[in-house]
Amino acid sequence: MADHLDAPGLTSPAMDTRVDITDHYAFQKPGDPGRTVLISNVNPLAPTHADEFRSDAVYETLVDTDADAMPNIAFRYRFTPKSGGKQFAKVTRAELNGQVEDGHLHGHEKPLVAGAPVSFGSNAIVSNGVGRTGVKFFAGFRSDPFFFDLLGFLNGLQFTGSDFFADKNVFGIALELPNALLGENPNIGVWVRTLVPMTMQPHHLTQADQMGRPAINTVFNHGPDKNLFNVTQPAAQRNAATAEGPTFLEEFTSELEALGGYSAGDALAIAEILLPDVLTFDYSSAAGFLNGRRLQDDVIDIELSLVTNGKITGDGVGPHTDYLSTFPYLGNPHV
Amino acid sequence: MKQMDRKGFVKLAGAGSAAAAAAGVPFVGGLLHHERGTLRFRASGGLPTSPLPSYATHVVEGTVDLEAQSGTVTSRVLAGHPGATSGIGLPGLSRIIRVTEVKGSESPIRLRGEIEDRSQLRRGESPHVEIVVDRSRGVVEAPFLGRQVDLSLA
Repeated sequence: MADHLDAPGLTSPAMDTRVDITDHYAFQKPGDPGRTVLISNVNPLAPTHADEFRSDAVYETLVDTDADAMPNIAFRYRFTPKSGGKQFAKVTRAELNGQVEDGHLHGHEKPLVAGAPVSFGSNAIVSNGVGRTGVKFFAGFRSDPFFFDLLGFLNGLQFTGSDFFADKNVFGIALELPNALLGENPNIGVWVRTLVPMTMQPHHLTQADQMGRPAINTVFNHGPDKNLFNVTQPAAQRNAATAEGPTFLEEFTSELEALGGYSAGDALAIAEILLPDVLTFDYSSAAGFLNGRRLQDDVIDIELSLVTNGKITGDGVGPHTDYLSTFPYLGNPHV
Repeated sequence: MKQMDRKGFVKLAGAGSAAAAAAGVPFVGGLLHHERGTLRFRASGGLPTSPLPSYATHVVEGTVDLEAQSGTVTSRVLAGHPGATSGIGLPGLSRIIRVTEVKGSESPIRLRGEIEDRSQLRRGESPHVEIVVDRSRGVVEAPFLGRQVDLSLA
């Protein structure tokens, strides 16, 4: 539940987990500071509700290279319809000038990967990029790397150290690339989103889900604000109005005062770090969260401690033991 | 348990409201129906509870024959907060409860029962369950992870 099961499209009638983002990660490739790994996971509880990527959707990783929370680079992942148990992916890279609207795509796309088979079994099929792009790509069924005592959270932060996600699976998208493809400035912001055709205008896309840092939407937003937040572009998040009227920045500040007992000034300062909701990452550093996010980073413990002002320091759950030591790093699926 | 479609529900709720109005009693809860010795109810609440934002919705619904003291109650936790609840159940949290005893015929009505599939039970979770349907307060008290929680009658 970093971001599991929070997409607007999950409510009736769509209920489409294929475009529900669960988590995303950005980290320096272990042992190779010149390369970065980007991972986006979707489809919580897979394959219970879906056993494929959605072929008319666009899965996207957006990169901000100049700290304005507007995208300068987009990596886009598209999939063929599943046929005969097979599905294939293509990946493109586009350079943008900050353009991003609800569901519109901008920029001239250049191919990075073509015809990459999706893995549905235990073995991870890794594809190389086209030409001399130097990328590696994986997409498919994997063990969910996220770890959290979800039931303890549902029970009002009464944690028992039980990892709800220990036996769960997702569909993962992993891209390993030379840092040059992320721009010259190593300090970047990364977020992911999914886009689907509009019901009445199928040639137009609309944003289904979005994620920056883990669990932000889950922990800070109430009721209809969760859906609003999922379709509000990061650069607009501070000043965008919530359903009740105040801005998201004001709501986050109030939430920190209520949950953590912070002073108004401290709460505002933290809220201004959390918004825009973008995963900040220095790709020249191998450090983990809050610098990017590695699979093993205990983001929940860090955020619990932050939100509650140290009153709760963890959920008693630690990283999984099934992460792979090599690309795509995501563990084999539970069967 | 038999699913109720919207048309059936409206008809049932309308009949229940009319009967309650005729009897001069307030009718609490659109899906609470108490007719001809049969109690039907549906109650829900957000998880976690306030002040934390709700992430999921706990739904308890049942049909009980008050005279025979038997019936079935289901307890589920669905993804999505109240008002935007999905049809996706969180695994391991659904329970089917067979009602074995009913106490009281007016509000509150206490239902005692057993969770049929004990393989679903979490460590320390009792298979014996008590559910209180309290029309006067508009709530249903039901167990969740070892404690009683109040859910609002729909």
